[in-house]
Amino acid sequence: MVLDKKKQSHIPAGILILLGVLVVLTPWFIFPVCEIKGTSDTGMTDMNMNPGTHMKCWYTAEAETGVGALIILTGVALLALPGRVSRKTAGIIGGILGLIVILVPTVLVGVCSTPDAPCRIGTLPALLLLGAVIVITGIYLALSKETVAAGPN
Amino acid sequence: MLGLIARSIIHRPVRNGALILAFAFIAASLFSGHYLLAGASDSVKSEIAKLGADLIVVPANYTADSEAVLLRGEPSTFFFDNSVVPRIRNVSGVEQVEPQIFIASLTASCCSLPVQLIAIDPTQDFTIAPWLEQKREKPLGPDEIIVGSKIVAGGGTNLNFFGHSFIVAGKLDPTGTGLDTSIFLRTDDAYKMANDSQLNAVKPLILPQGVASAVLVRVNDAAEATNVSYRIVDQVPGTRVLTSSALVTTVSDQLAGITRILDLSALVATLVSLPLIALISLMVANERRREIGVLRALGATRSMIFRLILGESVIIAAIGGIIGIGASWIILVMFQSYISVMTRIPLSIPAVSSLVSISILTFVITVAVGGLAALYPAVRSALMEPYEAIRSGEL
Amino acid sequence: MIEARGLIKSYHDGEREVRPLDSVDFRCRRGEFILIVGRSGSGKTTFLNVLGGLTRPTAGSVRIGGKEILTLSDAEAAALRSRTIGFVFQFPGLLSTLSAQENVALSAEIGSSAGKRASAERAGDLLGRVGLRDKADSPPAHLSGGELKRTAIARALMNSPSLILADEPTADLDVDTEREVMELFREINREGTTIIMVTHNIDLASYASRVVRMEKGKLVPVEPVQ
Repeated sequence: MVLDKKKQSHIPAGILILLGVLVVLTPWFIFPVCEIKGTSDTGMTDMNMNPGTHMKCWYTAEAETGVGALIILTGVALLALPGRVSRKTAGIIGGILGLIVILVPTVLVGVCSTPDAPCRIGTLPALLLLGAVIVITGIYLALSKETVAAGPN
Repeated sequence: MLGLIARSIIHRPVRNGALILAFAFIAASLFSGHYLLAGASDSVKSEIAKLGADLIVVPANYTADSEAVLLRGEPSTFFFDNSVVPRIRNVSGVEQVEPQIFIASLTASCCSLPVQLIAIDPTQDFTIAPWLEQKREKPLGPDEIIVGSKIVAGGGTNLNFFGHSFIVAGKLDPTGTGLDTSIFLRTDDAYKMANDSQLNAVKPLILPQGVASAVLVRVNDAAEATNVSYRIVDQVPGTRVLTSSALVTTVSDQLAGITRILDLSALVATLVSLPLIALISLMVANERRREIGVLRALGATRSMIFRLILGESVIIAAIGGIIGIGASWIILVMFQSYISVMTRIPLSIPAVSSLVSISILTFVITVAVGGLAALYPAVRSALMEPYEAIRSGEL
Repeated sequence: MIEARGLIKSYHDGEREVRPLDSVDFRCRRGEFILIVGRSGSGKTTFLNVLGGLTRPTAGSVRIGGKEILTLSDAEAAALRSRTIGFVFQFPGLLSTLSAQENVALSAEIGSSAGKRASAERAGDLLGRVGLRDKADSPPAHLSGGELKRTAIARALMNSPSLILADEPTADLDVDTEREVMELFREINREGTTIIMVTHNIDLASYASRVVRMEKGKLVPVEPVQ
């Protein structure tokens, strides 16, 4: 299959954009995080919170929105400037951003600690998965060499 | 031979990529359905056994609620008259009984878990004791509670329910059942809590005297459990008896629906893909007629050509199968709790032996489909006369 | 070396019967360079393919080196084609997934005679002989018509066959390349390889030791060339 410079960048760029969109959508729509601010009843009081502030997963969602936007931007930039240097740069940036996607809900910000909370059973694995795929895409971009046209399909 | 096959697979990335995805889909559907089935039955079989009871007697009107509590840990509040307790105890074959009262805490939204409060008489208890993390020397004291493994609180923590303050005195080992989100308190404390709730709680708890929600029963002879359950229903009207097998059937039925859908989609995918793949294999075999003719002229035997065409399809199917099984595995494990909550079926990760056998079976089936699809084109290509093959390519 | 007797090939095309070969007798000694000329449709290509075992005649016999090839099993026939006979077709017939050198080495791989490294070396040498050593790693898509032909010839030589069957090898080639290719054949023939070549170009007769003509499925002898 003949892959010229442009096409080689288009597909991973598209993938990055798609993944970035998914990262943004996941904590709000696909696997939504909890929205309540503090607890108002006399149920569990193991949430050390002041009423009025959000729970951790909310802040994770906000952070991931930012990271996702950056990933989309990286993809768009790659689309606009295909070429070997662009690909390597996009790959490195993408890889780092993917890593951040993984670190936000685990180390950097976190999600609710209750084992059955939606943010823990849904949002967290989804973000981890997305992050992993983004990192892999980034590595692929960073390491890919220019291929010579391989002959007719 | 292998090198030739590998080259020709790589040479057409789009077409072969699509084929690989098709096989991956087939494999994923097959695998997922049986993974879930295995995970669910493993989980349910351990439920009642872990509770230490052979039978659970619940009010006849509240069957759905009791299943909700016991299977999924969805908190509920229901009662029947506890005069049934001595009558159950008198049924022949019954060795021990333990009445429990189920009380749902006030539900909060989302992350604040609704909790099942279970009021017990610690002196009669035979289900909880084995599960305590550390063996307690003395029975539960006033305002002391024992929490399930998923409750985020340790020994000595204060927890409030209905305005009444309790101290965590112990924590259960994980059971993989609804017990993990339950909290055990003394019946006396439960009534005290109910009284105080008139003043202190957002919503008061009404706890009538002389009630029970469920009576856990241990029988003399496990083999007789079913007979004993009939006797109880006979002799103690207004009751229903849940047995281990009954619960397993309930869950299996629920799950059967999902498994059926997944198996069906695998079947549909196969039925649709088989002729499609066969057609594509045929088309490609035709495209490569001249190439095959040349290979024969160079000295390739019929069986070599057969293996070439068949091998390509089998390898593509194998790659797709591995991708499908691997991806399913990863996603199913990562989203384990989510699926369990969404389908309202207790799930656990199936035993390694089940996983391995499901994977192997799925892989074999996927590869077989690949082989079957390419069988006709492979045979046709092998039987072609070289000259005909070469000539027909000239167009 | 080759003895063909009573070769008949007929098939039905709808209503009528077609006979590309109509009772052909042929004899050839080792080391000859035979040119078969004739108009298109005269049956010469069919004849060549029957000689090589690529197609079965309706009747008749073919003996190569004394052995009747039409009764061979599939495996034996394949071995014959691999080791004894080298084909050069009218079209190049190279696999587009392999490089030039790999295509040449393919003959050996199929016969599984030599090890991979030895085959690669020999393939490289053969490409050098046809003047294409620097194109060893090129895929067929990057080679010109003449280069493809020469690669095909190198491939035919890979297993040191004693017989080469060539079907219009110089069709589609310009005059200079044609001359180069024919010189190559002459060289190979001098080394002892029997060559039977089909062509419609009678001007190539000077390269051959004997010329025969095919007309409507029958062989007609032609005056020997000086």
